[in-house]
Amino acid sequence: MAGSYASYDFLPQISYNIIDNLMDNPDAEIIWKLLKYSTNDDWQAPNLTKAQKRALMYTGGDDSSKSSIFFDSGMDDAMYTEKIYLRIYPYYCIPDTDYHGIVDVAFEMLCHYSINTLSNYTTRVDSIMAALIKCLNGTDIGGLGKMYFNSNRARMDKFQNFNQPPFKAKILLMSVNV
Amino acid sequence: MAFSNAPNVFADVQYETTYGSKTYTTLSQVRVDAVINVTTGKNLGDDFKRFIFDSTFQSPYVGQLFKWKNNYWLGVNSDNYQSLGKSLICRRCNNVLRWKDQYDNLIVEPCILNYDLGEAADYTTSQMVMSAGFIKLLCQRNENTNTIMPNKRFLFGTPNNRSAYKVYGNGRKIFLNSETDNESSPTVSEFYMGASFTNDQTDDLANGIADAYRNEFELSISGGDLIQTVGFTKTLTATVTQNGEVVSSGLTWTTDDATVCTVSGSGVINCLKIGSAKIRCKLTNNLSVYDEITVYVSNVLADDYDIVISPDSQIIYEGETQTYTCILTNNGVATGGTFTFFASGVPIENYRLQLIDGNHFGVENVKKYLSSKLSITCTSGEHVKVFDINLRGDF
Repeated sequence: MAGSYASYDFLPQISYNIIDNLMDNPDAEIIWKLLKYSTNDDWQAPNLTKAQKRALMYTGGDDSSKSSIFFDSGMDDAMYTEKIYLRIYPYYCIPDTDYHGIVDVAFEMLCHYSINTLSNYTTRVDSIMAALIKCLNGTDIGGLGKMYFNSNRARMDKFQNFNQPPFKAKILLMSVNV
Repeated sequence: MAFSNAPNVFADVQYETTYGSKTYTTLSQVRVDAVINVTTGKNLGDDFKRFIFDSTFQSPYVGQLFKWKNNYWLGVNSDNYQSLGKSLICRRCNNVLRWKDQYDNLIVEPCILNYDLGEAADYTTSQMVMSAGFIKLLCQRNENTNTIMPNKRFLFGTPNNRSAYKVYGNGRKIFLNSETDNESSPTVSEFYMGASFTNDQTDDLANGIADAYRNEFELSISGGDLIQTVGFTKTLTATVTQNGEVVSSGLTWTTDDATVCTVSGSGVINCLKIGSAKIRCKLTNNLSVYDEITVYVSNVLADDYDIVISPDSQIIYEGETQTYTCILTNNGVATGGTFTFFASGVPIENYRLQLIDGNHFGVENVKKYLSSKLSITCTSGEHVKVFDINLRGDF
């Protein structure tokens, strides 16, 4: 019966729900700080307010290079400041039955070389990536299911470099069964 | 020999009296000479002219604008140090830059588009064919053009036949000071732009304004026209929306007949005598955005009901509760009427409607719902108003 097959109508909500989870998650505060600021002491900056967090998100229309968080991949505006960008979007899907599929979600982090190293001898990209895994691994994202980071369950799950000089870049792939 | 003793002296050249002011004054006499390309020896024609000024004129400068022969002219090369004459090579502005600022004000600046359209071509990629090409333009460096940032889009062409170009990330040459360490000194700015794409929904293709409809402000005065008697006073309120979302912004209130009805800077009206007056509320940062009502001052009151809901915030974030006040007014005066409230449009598990009393209700966003808005129908007898609320997540 076609009507009971998986509809995947939740796909546009995945990125929103993930960000929504990170807004309130205490373990995600480091992500927001590192996205907003651009000095090597940012890791110890005060937590952001919700309004400050909201202001980081790209809502379409304006110069996208000024925003920090995106709900899709790529952008056609030139980057001209030393910034970091986080892009979260459904990347890959394996529909293993009519009723069920595995959606791999990509987290792309692109950080200008000059601001990647922090004064606590860590890097901005790796700190954000670690916080993302900590916040989301095993966490339900707005009722869509629990995210996981396990290549035995989803063969795409991994993180890897894709540097684009002068930007350090990593892509993290986590999954959710739907 | 007198300055004017030549066939090429004109009395209709106007100069910008103060740099960047956009105000022009006519000069009594200016010699206009041809300009020769020193490399080729050829006359550069009507796009380049040397303006030679008499001794009473202030020193002309690069970046100075003139009006002559239905054109703007931009000073691009001066030769005044230790020179007997005062002259300026000017280039004819062959187009204009049009854009809207953050408050939706239209800005127009004359500019010079270089002759060449560089590398105009279509590039075939594995998936599609992409347009390309770049242009360079010059304009006066001033407080308007200093706001042009990378990725800013512009339209050129003819009405409804426009091409879009976008400023390159490092495409601003705005640093050739005419005084070494004075970054406000008069000069010419250059912009390098690459091919972009038009959008018939967000660009004004008829008038050549890119992104004209992306940042629209609307203003509405609550309640509408009033019929009142002498001595009536009331504080008017207005709501400003930017792209449909309520924002706070400076307002300017005016009346067209202060003898009938005055209005204060904060919107307080005071009816003084029988007649009518238009009360207008404008966005302070963009006076073209306004709403107005008419206040009729008479001996007899006619019914004019309105339902006023405050605050006008239409977004509630998940986990938050907003309490609203709902008042039935007649000619702007609260009647004491009470309401019933009915919610619809969102599954009931996503919100909690709190009926506080006949004039107050609260809405708790229990769980975000992005597919549609929560509609609260406020009913007082025959008077009904539907108030829509967005139940958002944390953003």
